[in-house]
Amino acid sequence: MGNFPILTAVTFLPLAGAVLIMVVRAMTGSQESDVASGNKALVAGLIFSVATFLASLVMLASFNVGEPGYQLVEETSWFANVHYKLGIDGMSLLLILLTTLLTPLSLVASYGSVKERLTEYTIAFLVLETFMIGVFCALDLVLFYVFFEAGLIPMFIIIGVWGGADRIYASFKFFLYTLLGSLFMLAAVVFMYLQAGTSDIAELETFAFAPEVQTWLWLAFFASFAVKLPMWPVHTWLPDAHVQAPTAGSVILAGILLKMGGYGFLRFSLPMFPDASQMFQPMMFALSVIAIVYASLVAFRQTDMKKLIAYSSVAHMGFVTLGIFSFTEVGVQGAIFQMISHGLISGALFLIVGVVYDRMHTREIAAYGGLVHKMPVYATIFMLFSMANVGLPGTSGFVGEILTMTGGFQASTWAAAGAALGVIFSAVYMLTLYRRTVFGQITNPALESIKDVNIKELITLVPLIIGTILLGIAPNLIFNVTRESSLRALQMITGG
Amino acid sequence: MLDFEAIIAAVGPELLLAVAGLVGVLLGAIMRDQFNAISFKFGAVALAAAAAVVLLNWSGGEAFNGLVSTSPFVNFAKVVSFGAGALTLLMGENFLKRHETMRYEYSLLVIFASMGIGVILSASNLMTLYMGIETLSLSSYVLASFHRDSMRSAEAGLKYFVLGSLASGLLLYGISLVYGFTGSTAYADIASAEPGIGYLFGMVLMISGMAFKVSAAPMHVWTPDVYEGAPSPVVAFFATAPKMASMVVFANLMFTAFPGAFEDWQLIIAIIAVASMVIGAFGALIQNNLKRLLGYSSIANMGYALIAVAAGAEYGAAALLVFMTSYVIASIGLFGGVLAMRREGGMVENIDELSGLVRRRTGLAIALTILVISIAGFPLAVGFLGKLVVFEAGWNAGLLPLLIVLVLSSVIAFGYYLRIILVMWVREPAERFQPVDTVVSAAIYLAAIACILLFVFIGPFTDWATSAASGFYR
Amino acid sequence: MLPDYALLFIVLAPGLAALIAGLFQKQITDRGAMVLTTGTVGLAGILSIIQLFAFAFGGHGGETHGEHGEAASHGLHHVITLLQWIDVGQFQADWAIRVDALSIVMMAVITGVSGLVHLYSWGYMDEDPHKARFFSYLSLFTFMMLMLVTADNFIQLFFGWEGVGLASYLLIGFWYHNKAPNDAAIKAFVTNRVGDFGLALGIMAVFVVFGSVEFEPVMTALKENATVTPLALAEAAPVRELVLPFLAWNIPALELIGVLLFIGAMGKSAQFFLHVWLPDAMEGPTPVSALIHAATMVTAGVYLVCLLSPLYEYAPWAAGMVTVIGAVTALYAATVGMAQNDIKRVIAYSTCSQLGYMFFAAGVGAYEAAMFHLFTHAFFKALLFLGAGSVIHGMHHEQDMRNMGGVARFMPFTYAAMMIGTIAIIGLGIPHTSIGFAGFFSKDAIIESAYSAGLLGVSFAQMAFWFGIIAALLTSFYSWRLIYMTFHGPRAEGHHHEDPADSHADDHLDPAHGHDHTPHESPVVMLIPLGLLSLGAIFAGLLFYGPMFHHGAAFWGDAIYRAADNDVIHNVEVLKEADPNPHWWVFWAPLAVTLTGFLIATFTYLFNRGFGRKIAESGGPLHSLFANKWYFDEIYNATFVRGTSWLGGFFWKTGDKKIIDGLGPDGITSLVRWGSRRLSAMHTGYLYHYAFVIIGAALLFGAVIFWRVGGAG
Repeated sequence: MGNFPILTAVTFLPLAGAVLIMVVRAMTGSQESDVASGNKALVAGLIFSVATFLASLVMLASFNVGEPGYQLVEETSWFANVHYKLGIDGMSLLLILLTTLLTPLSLVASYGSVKERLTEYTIAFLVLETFMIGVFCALDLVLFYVFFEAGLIPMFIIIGVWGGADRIYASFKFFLYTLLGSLFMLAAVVFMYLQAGTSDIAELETFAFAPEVQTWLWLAFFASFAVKLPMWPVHTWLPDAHVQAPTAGSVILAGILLKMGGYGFLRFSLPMFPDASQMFQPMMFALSVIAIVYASLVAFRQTDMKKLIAYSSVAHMGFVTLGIFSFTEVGVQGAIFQMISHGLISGALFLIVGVVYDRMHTREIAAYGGLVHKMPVYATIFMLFSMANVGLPGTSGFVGEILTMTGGFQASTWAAAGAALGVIFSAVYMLTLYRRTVFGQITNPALESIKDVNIKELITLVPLIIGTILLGIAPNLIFNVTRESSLRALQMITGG
Repeated sequence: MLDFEAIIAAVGPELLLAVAGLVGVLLGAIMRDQFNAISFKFGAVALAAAAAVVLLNWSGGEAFNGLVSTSPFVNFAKVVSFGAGALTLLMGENFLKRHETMRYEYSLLVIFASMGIGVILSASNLMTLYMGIETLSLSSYVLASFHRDSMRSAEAGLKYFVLGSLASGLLLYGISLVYGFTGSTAYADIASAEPGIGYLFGMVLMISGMAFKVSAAPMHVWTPDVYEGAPSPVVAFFATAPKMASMVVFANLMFTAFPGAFEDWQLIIAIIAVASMVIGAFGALIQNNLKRLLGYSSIANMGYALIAVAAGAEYGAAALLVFMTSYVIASIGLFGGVLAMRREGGMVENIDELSGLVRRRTGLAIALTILVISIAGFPLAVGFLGKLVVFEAGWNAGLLPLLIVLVLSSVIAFGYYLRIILVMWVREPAERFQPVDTVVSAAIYLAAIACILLFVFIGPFTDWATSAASGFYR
Repeated sequence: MLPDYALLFIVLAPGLAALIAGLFQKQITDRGAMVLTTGTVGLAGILSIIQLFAFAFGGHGGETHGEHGEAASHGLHHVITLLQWIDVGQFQADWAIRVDALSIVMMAVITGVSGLVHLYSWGYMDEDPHKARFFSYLSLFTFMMLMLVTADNFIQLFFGWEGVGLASYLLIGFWYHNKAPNDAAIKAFVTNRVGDFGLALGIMAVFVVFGSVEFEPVMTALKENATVTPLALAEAAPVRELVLPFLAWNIPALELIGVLLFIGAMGKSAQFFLHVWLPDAMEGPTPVSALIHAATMVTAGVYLVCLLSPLYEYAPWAAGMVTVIGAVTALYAATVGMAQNDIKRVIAYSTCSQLGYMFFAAGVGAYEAAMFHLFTHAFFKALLFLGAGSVIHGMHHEQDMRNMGGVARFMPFTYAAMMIGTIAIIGLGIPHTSIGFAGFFSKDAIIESAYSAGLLGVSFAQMAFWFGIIAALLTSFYSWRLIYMTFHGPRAEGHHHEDPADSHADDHLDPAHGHDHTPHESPVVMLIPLGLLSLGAIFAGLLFYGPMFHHGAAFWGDAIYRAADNDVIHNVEVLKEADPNPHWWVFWAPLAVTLTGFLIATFTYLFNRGFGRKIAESGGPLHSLFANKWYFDEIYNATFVRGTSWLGGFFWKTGDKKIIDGLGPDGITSLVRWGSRRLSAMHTGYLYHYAFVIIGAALLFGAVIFWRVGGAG
């Protein structure tokens, strides 16, 4: 491969697709019917996102697992001392793969489910994909910020245009919440750039900020990542955003956008502000545990399927922060694993809700019941992912939970005990949801004619099923890749 | 003895514009209504030529015993202003034609206003400054009420005139105080004078006057009404060329004439900046008229620009240029958008008229989205980097409270910027607009592309601005 | 010992069969699924039983040490590693199959009972439309249970632990169209999760203390009192002296781990406080109750405690807790069992009670006795359940004993089997001889051990002994009550479908079965398992008393560890053979109370039929207490269930909506909009207002400068 800029290619391939679709659309204008051109655009988008996935596999192949540090680095000057610099380590590699996997799946899921304005829809997803990949491979702080923020616009449009009834409120809330958080980060970015004279992430990792400065910088980054993750108490945008977003939007939101928060903590907070990270450990533990318990309890009371899963996401991301801030190898590895695993599981759960939503156009739990009689395959898949979400051993959900909790236990038994409490509640809300939708008698006559999952839906779900089980049984596939990056992050925080 | 070369270097563009204006008057007198049709091209060519002359004399010079003196810093602003003036002039042509007010006086007024712009930028003496400002202002008053038959336009012109005169009075009073206490009107002499209380009062009054010109709060009060009432092409002009120039002049005045009272004017300008950011953010939030909204948006943006001014010459000068340029580019595009909002039966100005634009005119909607993103200072477009350098300047100067307001007001401002995007993307399509004039759509697309390109290739651009501002580093 | 491939087959084949039967049920049809799963599990069962016999009587026993060298001294005879599972720093866990005395016994019990239950289900589930699913679940359970008992690390154990929970959940809720099974399934899963809360924390504590989650290093460290360095939490110290900070307390590490792990065991084995799910689990099909909720899964807790004997030997408080909880459960469940009318619930409470016995045996240090009882109990409890299932089947899914009576003549074979089961569970046998049913050997071993431990000063052992004696009395009573109410007396007429008490009784019933309410004997496929289990219920105790208890040391080898000062079992022999024997009454007491219970039951339910019902209807406080299970469900409902729900609603409506959103985004938004409106209102459009603002501002700036200069001066 030599000097071929594979990361740039992976990052901007979707954007190129988006521009192409845009140009074609502008040239053909409105001669074609909306539906026909929309479907073509979707297929084109799918081709591009699959190509991106393949390109990311090439990236995987060129990646040297055992080697510490950043690889496949590309660098050109941007302005002043800011560079366009890309590069990946094990952690970002996996998150990119997750992104390039989930995007085509979301597009497939949208086929036939999204009926209006498919062209713009496809464009929005492709643009979003570029930004998401960019976030994970940017090695310059300013570049990172640009990608980090830029993703808001397409997501804003996705929620705002193709969302549910209350989409305007939700999209605004999503946007402004996240924006406010990340502006603090921007301030910190500027400060770090001015103080260290560089915005190169690798260099900043070795730059020692004074402890009191670290505190402020840490808090500024925290403001951004905590909202993104989201942590309690800045999580309230998530349920609204999820409920209103179209299925594919929820998949991407839960699957990838939330991971940026965890990624940020690992990539920036720990290595760059080790002292502050140590100092804030108790607070992070407290917030993580509150998130786990609180969100699980709230999830239990939801009447909307997506809202329930959204709250469950909040709880599961609590494990991520718990693991990261345990500063143990077990915890950090578990946290990365949990991010990947949650990407698969929550993505699948949102697809699962989407399946019945497409048929019934309601997400009210009460409108369902007895689905198993008409949709046995659906019921089986739903059961699998419910169990994965509950953290049943053998699924990927378990590995992340047990490791993050074990990591947490080493630092604070309170945190571990609290998190373990959340594990109980997760069973409560998930099984209740399952029982109320899938089991029981059919009470809603409209369900009598409901059809089981079709091929399209299976295509979207099967990769996630395979991933969830495979990673549950052989999680070392992940750990081997992330070992070096987590050890590196730990080394920096323990001052090694 | 006049050193002709030095004069050309210092005021060549202004002379060119003056000549062009006079030729225009002459042509008008001869050709009468036949001149109307070509006057716009004539004006645009004149402005472009003026810009070219500026570029040719980039390093600037001094003339008339120091009454005028140019530097790359002000020349930068001149190029942008003249360019913006030329573009907005062309964009307005068809608009005025449709409103049956396509008269050559319009272009001549723009030329004279631009000459005023040139003069104030070149000024290094308070008297020159005042003369330039009056030239600019008087032309602007007439432009604002150019639609003589429209009540709104006339009212806008009148308000602008009365308040503008008040501001000019403040400015003049300030000048006389400064003159009285320092014995000179030359920037250089003032700079070396001991700042006493009278001197400072004079300076404050001058700041107040300048704040009016850049429509910074609380001297912004005219802005929303004039933006709403004046004809759209005129507003497009107001929002770009004079804004750029006045702000740079403001900065230039502070940096060169009052360096000794840095901390005093920094405080006042900081107050103005905060007020502008807050009022700009809050005021726009509930506006439905797009022009009025953009008026508030401009107030907010002037607030951001004033942070660069308050940061002082060393940190702020280059940042100011970058920020203002990015602002001007986005503004041209957005006012192009305003000009594109035409239906049968005339112009529409309500935001809701943009509903579902993305379905009716995908390209236009995407371009406008980029422009809104840029003016909002969101990553992906040059506006973000403009804000970033301002932020950096403020940070370097230790203006933390201002930056906090900057951040918070930006978030609030996003509320209305997002609303525009939302309306274009989310709402059910409204009735289709009439075809957009070629020049206007070209301007919109160019502005949008420029926003993206400048974002990607910001490096050379900032280098240019930095070198232009380097005269202040000493 | 069996060759590796046979062991692999035993453990993995049921899982594979479950997978095939579950995923390809359309392709292989119901019949194919049934043949496949039953065949696989049956074969695995035969292999396991061969292995058990070979192990117990083939001269292996404890003498296998030499054969497998290094592993032997740690109690791990043989480990087959399949695949590395988790490899994160010190956190190492493999997928492995561990074969030692404990797992050999458990494998035999699991696959043996499971094979019979599979077979039995051919008849019992004959009318069910979802047979493939049912058999798939049964095999899945078997697989998970095998994974549990053959784990060589805590994580795989946890996998099996939760896996059997899943299978149990699926099987309890097998008739998912009804509310009651669904509720019961969730209750079972969630209650188990409460236990798993402890188990998970216990495993974490193990990891922190020992730096490993694998049995071998942990057991070695425990036995050798190695010095360990708990990661970050405390100073290095010999493990038995190590004190670990946990929540607000400092607790000896081993006690902490012991208690936490035991909480897990309490959940899975339905011990006091966490027992509430087991009776409800009877909503599942009866074969499930026999397999999961009597013979195998619920004994996992006992297995865990015995497996961790090296831990509990040095954690006296934790062991004390095991004893107390076990003893209380034994007694408590027996009291409730006396007042139940649902035939399956009686047996369920009986299971609870018997598990209590096992626990207090383990608690006082007689792990061999616990395992022995676990082993024999599997036979007679499965027998009782399958017998009850046979009755239910024959009675057209009637489960209320009040609607039964006189069934014996219609179902003689079932009656005989139930009699054998009952005699086995009450532990009938003649002390000091080898004459007796299975329960006699194992239960008496437990009671004697408890007494012996009491003499040796083991805490709570005496209490456990007395509780055990009383519980034996009650056991005898409710067991005979069940027999009499079901099989004797006049045949109860009428089939009270409208009776709310039996509303749970099965509307899944195939209408083709008709409404002929005459009881009938069950088909042969159901009777064969009854017969085989009867044999076990009669002879298992006699056969294995020697290897498992009397010469336990040799049989269990290092799989069960006893501290040097643990003389409990040996002391039993000493007490038994003392001459003159001051403790003679201890050996006769079980028989005495058993007979007493039998007599009371016979009096109230056989000779004075209706007397029992009269007591019930008179509704005395004691009866109400027992019949309502000491109001556990009500209390839990009022506190935990309602409390959780209330808290969830509070966090959602007040926390999220009112406080966070109200003060946060929504509040700020409305504040901003308010400010915006005010500002707009100030924009009057009047020139003089504007002029005033401009001049005012200019003056204000002047004032600021004046103040500054003045201040500076």
